[in-house]
Amino acid sequence: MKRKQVLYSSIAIFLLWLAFAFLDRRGIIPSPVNVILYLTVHWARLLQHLSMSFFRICIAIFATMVTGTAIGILSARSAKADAAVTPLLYALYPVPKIAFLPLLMLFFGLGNMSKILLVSLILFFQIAIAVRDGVKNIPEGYFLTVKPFRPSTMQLYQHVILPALLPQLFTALRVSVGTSISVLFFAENFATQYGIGYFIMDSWLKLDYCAMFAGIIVISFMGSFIFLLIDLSEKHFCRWRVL
Amino acid sequence: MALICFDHFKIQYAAKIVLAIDSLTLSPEKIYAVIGPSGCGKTTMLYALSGLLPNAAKASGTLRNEVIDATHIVLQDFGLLPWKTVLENVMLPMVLKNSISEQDEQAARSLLKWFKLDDYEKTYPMTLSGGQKQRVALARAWLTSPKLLLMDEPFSALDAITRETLQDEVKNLYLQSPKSVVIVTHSIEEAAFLGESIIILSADGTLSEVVENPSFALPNARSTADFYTMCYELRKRMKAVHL
Repeated sequence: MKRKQVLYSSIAIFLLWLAFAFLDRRGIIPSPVNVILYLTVHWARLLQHLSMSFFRICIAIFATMVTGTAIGILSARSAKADAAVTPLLYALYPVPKIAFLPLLMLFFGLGNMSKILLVSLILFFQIAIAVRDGVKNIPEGYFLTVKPFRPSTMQLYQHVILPALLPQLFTALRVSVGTSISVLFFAENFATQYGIGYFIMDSWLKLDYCAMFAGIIVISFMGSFIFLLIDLSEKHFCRWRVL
Repeated sequence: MALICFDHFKIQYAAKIVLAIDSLTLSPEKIYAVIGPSGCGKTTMLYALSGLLPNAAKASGTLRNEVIDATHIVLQDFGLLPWKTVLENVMLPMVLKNSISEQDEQAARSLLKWFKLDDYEKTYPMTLSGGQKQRVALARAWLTSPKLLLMDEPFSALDAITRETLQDEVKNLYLQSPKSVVIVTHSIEEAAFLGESIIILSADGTLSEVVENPSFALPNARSTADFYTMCYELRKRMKAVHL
């Protein structure tokens, strides 16, 4: 995104918000000016909550990138694995993972582990299925190109499968990051005192709408920041594409 | 001494026979052009010679290729990996064989210079023109210094002038350092210009005949009467094969 575009969209959101705050006679929607003032005063506290959420999301993304990619590649490259894994993926993917939070908390405790696992569970299926289809769709021509030189399995992955897969993986990541933030928000409502999700719900219960909206702004910035990181790594790792 | 020997060699996909050559011998250090109507098994013949036949293809009879380990194939779609630069694509065979030396890189650079690609070493294939991509593929083929070079309709995607330039470059390289080459083509003029011997296949995948080409060795062959006679002869025989 260009800087100008960011500026314009920020101004548009600000003005829209200002209008809603002005029209809302009951004072539920705080004025954006007050929220920004709140942010300037309480930024340290918000940063504390934010960094906890960011840490949880990053661990979940990293863990699922590794496991989801591994399972996805496995089922794409081996017919036997595909026959074993795909029915499982299809059966478990539609199950609402949020329903497992109580179980996860019983097994893995009330701390970070259960929350990270919940987000990972949701990310895992999206990435595994996208990777499986991505690998299956790699054009046969790339394999024919290297086949005469008898590459080892490692070389096949290093020189063909992984680079061909990367663009697809980045798309899958972008799609699933939005979902995973919403789920983390939900998970942070239970048994924790830290995390931006906790902060928002806590402010709501205290009827402190100004703080609540500050939390919403911060969560939106966190999402944008993660998208930016994904864009930058795609630019770096997929230089060869004319982006 | 025969380089390649077909003896009652047959390839079929399910019940359909795509190639059936009873007897054909190819001598070393000669350029053969293979010509025939679409679907007559030209590409299948190259894949059989290079060991690239898909699992679904069933071969019977014998095909002896004395130099199968030193056979290089230039695929129809150039066979470049888009995530590797021009130089990396040319060096790919060495990288996969884990045997890169300073000399190979020197040789690669001088080949790129010969093909007028020295300014594009660090460019990715997506930004190259069709003719440049084909040159990269040819540079890679020559770098591996194969005992047998197979080309699958190498110039079919190029415009007329680029095609003739590349045909000249290939012929000149061949005249400098003769090697055994089999070129599959559907262009009569290309067969008459690049083929020392021209193998004509029938629509049913059988061998129609092998024609010697006296115009091959002539300088500036395209503007000789012998070349036109050859084209006329080939056209006549192709028409007969089509019926």
